[in-house]
Parts: sequence; C-alpha cells; structure tokens
Amino acid sequence: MKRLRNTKVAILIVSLLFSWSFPPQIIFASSQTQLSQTINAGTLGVDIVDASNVTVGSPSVAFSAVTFNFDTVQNSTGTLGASSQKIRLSNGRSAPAVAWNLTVAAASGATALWSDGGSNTFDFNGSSAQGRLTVDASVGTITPTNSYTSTGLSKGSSTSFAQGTTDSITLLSASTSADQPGRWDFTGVGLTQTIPAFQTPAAYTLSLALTAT
Amino acid sequence: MKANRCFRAFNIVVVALLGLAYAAAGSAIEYEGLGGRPANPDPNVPNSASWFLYQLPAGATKEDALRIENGSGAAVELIVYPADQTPSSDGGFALKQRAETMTELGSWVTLYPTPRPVAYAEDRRSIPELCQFAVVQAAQAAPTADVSELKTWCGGVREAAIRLEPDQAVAVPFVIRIPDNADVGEHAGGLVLERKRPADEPSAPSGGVQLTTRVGVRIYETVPGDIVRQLELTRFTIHPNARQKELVATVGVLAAGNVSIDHTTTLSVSDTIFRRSSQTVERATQALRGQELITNISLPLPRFGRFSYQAQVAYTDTDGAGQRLMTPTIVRWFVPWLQIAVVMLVAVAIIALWLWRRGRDRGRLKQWRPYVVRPGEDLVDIASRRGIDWRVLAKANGLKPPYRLKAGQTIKVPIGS
Repeated sequence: MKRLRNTKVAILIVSLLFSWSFPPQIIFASSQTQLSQTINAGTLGVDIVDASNVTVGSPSVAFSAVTFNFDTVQNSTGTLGASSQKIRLSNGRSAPAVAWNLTVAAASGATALWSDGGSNTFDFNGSSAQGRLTVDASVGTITPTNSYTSTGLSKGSSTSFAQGTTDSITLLSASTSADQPGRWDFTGVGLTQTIPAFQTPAAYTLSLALTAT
Repeated sequence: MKANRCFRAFNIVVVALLGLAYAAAGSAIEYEGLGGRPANPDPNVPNSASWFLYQLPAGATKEDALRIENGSGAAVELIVYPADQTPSSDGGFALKQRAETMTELGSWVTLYPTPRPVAYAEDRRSIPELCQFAVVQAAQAAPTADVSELKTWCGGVREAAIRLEPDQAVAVPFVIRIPDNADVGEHAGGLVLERKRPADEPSAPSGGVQLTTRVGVRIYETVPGDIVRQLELTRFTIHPNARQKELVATVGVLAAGNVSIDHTTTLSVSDTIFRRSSQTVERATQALRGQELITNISLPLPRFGRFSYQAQVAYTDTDGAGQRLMTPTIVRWFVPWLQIAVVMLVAVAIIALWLWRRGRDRGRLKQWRPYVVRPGEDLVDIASRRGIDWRVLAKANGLKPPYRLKAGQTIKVPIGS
C-alpha cells in the first residue's frame, strides 16, 4: 500500500513539474480552452519624435543663417528629421497590405510665404531669385524599428516646390511589399532655401505639413 | 494524506492557470498612434479596411463613417476634414491642405460629427433618407421645430474639431454626394486628421520651419461607365544619388486611362561579367488617374563590374488581361576611378622616388675616388673614418654579404671625407 501511495505521489510531482516546464499553450492543447489574444488592426500614422521616442510638441526645423546681400541669391540649409526630431511612420493596418505615401507641403497651400510675422515675406515656391525651397529625400536615412525592414520603401527624389506644378513633395512611399505592420524612422532629409538678394534681415517662418496617406 | 494534499495543490495550480488563460482570451492590443480607418469595411472588398472604396453612379448619395483612434497614450486635439487628392512630386497620392479650396471629391463629402436631433435619435433611416424627409417636410406650409432643427443638422459641417482621450476611439459619420455631372472614372480624395498645434506655442521667434502632421484616409470613388485601364512607360534611368552612396533606379509610368492602376514593377539586375542575375527587386504601387508615377528603387552602388538593368511593369488592362511593359536594358560599368587614381599616384610616386635615389647614388659614385684597402681594414672601419654608414659604402661598391675586403682591393670612397 505504502509503495502504491508513493508511486501516486511521484506521478503527481512529475505531472506538476511537467506542467510548469512547458508553455501554457501546450498545457491547454488538449482541453476545450484555447489561449487567444485579439490584436486589433491599427492605423497609419505619422509623428515627430525625439531621441527618447516621445512626441515633440512643437516640431520645427532650423535653417542656417545668412547675411544680408545686395546682389547675390544665397542658400540657407536645414535638415528635416534631425536625430532629436525624427519622422516616425507607423503602419499598424491589417492585411492585405496597401501602399502608403508620406509627403510634405506648405500648411497654407501653394500661396504660403516665408514671413517674419509682419510685412516682410519671400517665396518658397518661386524662381531661384524669388525664393525656392528644395527637398532632397534621396539623401535621407530610413531606420526600421523593432525587427522590421526597409524592403518595399522608396525615398523621394530631390525636388523643388513650384507653384501650381509641385505643391506637394514625396518624402517616402511604400509599396505593398513593405512590412505591414511596420514602423520606420526617417531622418536626414535635406532642405535648401534660396534667399533673394536684398531681402530684409529678419527671422522668417514657414509652416509645413507632413501627411501620411 | 500526502497524496490528497498533492491533489489539492495540483488542482489549485490548474485552476490558477485556467483563470489566467480566460483572462488573456478577453484582452486586446491596440497599435500606438493617432489614425483613422473606415468604420464599416466590407470583407468582400479588398483594401476596404484601409480605404473608402465606392462605385456610386453620378447623382448617388451614401452614408459611411470614419473611425478615429487615439492609441498615443495622451489626449489629442485634432481637426477632421475632407480634402481633394493632389499629386505629389513623384506622382504619388497626396491631399490638399485645409486652407485650400476643394473642388473635387473633397467638396462632395459632408461630416456629421454631432448626434442626430433628439426627436430623430432613434430613427433608423440613413442620413440621406432622413435629410430627404427633412427637405420634404420643410417644404410644407408650417414645418415643426423638430423638422427645422433636423434640416439645420442635415447641413452637416465641412470640418470637425475633435478631442480624443488616450485609447479613445470615435466614429464620425459622413455623407458623400456624387454630383450629377461627375465624369466617368475614378475620383480620389480623403478624410484628413490634422493635429492641432498647442495654442500657447511660441511662433518660432528664431525663424525656420514649423511642422504639423496629418494622416489621410483615402477615398476612391469610381463612377461606373466606360472605364479605361491603360499604363504607359515614361522613363527608366539609373543614376547614383546625390551623396554617391546608393544607386537609384527610376521607373516612370503614366496611368493614361480614367482610373488609378495598381501595378508591379520588377527591376532585374545582372552581372554581365560573371553572367549571373545579381538582384531582383519588386515594387507593387499605384499610378493615379492621369498622373505619372515615379518609383525610385535604391540599390547598393557596385564597386566594380559591368551590370545590366531592366524593369518590367505588370498590370491588368481594361479587358482584365495581364499586360507587361518592358523597359530598354541599361548597361553600366562601375570602375572605382578615385581608388585607381590614388593607387596609380602612389605607384608613380614610389617609382619616381626609386629613380631619384638611383640617380643620386650614381651621381655620388662619379664624385668618389678610388681607395686601396690596407691590411687589417674592414668595411666598417673605412666607413666610420669617413663618417658614413658602412651599408652605403657596401651598396655603392656593389659588395655582397659577408662584405669581406682584401688588402690591396680597390674600392670607391667619397671625396673629401
């Protein structure tokens, strides 16, 4: 009897150890209950995040300062997507994979102007002499987060805004072969603005909108 | 007794694990961020979970809803509005800005973010039906206050300001009304979610660019009729990017019909020296109606070799037949000219140095005089007396190891040393 009881106890201990040693899915594989989790489909989103991946409240891009010049058109440069203000594209949509596009445009549309808040303005989409903003996404860097890849992503070409012709510029586009879900940081997009000769010295501001569709 | 205790412990563990399993079965994970999607996707229509896809005839009206989700973990204030599609620089999909005038699909959509008037809160009719009812009732001699309120509500809004708490989702109903004169084919636009910038934000005193972010949920409406699906190749180039770090293959296609065309571009790269296919890249994208779409495919810049590049574009035409467009083949040599130039320069410098030293040594020999070795002298003695390295002396006289000198042997030594 005693030997039988010991055998039962041994079987129980072995059963317990067995149950602890394997993942829960295996424990319930033969029962009526199945472990399940619902991962709701997400959406497409774009954000500007800092190095700690926190959304930047009022993102901006600083341009290099230029000195007043009577005769010469000068270039001022900046970088869209600095390490402290990364462009983060998140695509949490469910299958099937669909293409998406990330573009940049003046928030006020084609009639927007660089403005000092007063009467001094100049163009962002005029001729080189009037003021023209060039966006070069081809020199940008795509950094996939987590274990995603940059397969299926295309960077835009170097393009200048031109009123009525190029009001919106592609930064990044994804084909259906891109990861879905996926998340990428895009940094180092080159911005070059021509400053007209004889432009009144002041701090000028332009609002741009990044749009993911 | 011990066995009973073990049974009890076993049961407790099993019950606990079961409890955990049931709890997990009800949980859900949301993706981060702010975004929107169709609230009523049709499982039978591909992509309808991501985009609004309609095939309404001219003059038709349809109610739908946009589901907006805030998975960002912080409250968000945003503006929602419909916008026309506009081509981006590479022919991709973009949407007009809020400040711009909408003249196409963006002007066909009306939002209904507020609940129906109380008197019609339980009414099962769709918004178009209810609003048609309001129009009929209002046309009567003395419309009631409820009808007047309904008629006002039916006007809808062009844009809606919405505040979403963390992890909150709302559905914003809207109605799309296709104009009677809408032409056959595809019309595109979208519903835009634009973040409001903080009101107390400084207006960039130091200048520069201020950024806002927007997300658009595309709307494609195709007015039925004579649909033409035609794609044309417009360009194919291979060039290094501005920083010379990557090679960019650019493929351009034009959707020449009256609808957007989904197509697949396959770029094949072959190494023509070793006669092997080195790479194949595929991109499935969409050319918008009447627009040229430029697809840039980044490739590693080969260091050396001769490579050929060719792209193939596959799509389905008006008759449902598969079509393939082939680009011409572009062949490129890749030679690291800079590295080769550096190596050549170094080689020329080494040869020049060698020639110079040889000439110098020969010149020195001409200025040297004969010297007869005395008994007991060796090379080191003779060199040290003249203040030069014995190796120079050995080399100048063509002496080989072990550099032994015999008494009476004549060698050359520098004059004046």
